[in-house]
Amino acid sequence: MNTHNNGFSGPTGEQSSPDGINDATLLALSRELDALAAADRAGARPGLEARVAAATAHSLRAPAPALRLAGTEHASKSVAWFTPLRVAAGLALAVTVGAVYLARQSPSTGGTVAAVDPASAEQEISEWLAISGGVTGDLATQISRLDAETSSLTDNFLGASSTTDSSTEEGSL
Amino acid sequence: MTSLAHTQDREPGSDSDALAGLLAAAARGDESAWRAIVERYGRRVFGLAKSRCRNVDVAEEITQSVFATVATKLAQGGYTEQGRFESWLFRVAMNRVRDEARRTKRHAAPADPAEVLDRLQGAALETGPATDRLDALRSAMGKLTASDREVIELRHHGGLSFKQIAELLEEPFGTLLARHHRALRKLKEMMGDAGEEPGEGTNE
Repeated sequence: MNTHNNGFSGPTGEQSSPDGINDATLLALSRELDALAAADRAGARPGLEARVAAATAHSLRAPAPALRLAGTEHASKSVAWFTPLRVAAGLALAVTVGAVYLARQSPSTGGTVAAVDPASAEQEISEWLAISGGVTGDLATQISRLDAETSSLTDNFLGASSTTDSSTEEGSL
Repeated sequence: MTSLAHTQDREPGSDSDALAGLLAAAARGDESAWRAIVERYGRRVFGLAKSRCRNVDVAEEITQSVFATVATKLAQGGYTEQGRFESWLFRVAMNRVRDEARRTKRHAAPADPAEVLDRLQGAALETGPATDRLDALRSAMGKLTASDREVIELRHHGGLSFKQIAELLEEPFGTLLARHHRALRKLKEMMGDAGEEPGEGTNE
């Protein structure tokens, strides 16, 4: 019977055939394994249990609850911190999508402008000039005259608003 | 086989209520309860480690590591006693032994022959006046597959019941019995069974 200093008996020493082994040779082998195990256990240096207990007792004072609470706090903090971030991320995504949408829309708008026929535009302007001032003659002459009148009006306005230094400008006209 | 399982369900030399009390006290930081637990199981864990690594110092390191893990888990409330302490303890132990086996395998090439000689001599001293028969048995165990060897070591070195081993390895009870039987047969073949009469156990 294999025993050691904590009173443990080998498993196969409990009954005549505790492992359900009917083969007597295997039973003997099983008992030899018990003897081998007992030899291994007995090979420890004296005071093994005391050394192990002393070396590991401090582990009993591990701050166990703090670990779980820390996990819980971490979870609640993560919600508090990440909710604004999630909103910001959503906004950033919306802005990005909008920018992409507008960027795609711009070329089509430009294309519409570019597609206007210059001849028809000139015709529209001529019609407008005819309606507004009864202008006759070619368009270039009319435009030059409008330009001159516009400049004159501008100069008059500037001359009225200034006090002394406007004589040279007026003289140039 | 039913009566066998019933017999082996009880932890050898211990009372489950007393163990539950010790575990509860240790979880509250009672060092005397902790010492009692280590007294009860320390040598068995050491034997399991020693069987595999064959070195007293390494086996003691493994034993300390196992109990440090268990103490931490107890303090953290990571273990609830449901009559399966031994299975859990030896699962931790077996994992440490496997880790050590892998580590040893990675660093298998010894650099200094003198160191190897010292270790061999130390091992011989540690095992004491081992018989040739036990040496042969130890050698044969080294030739078993890892899974067969685990069953043998948990059964004989760890002193676990088959039910406990089945829980630990998460295998059906019947499968465990068959594996143990098969491992014994392999050992018998390797030993040649020469000069050993049936019933002539060396531990009686």
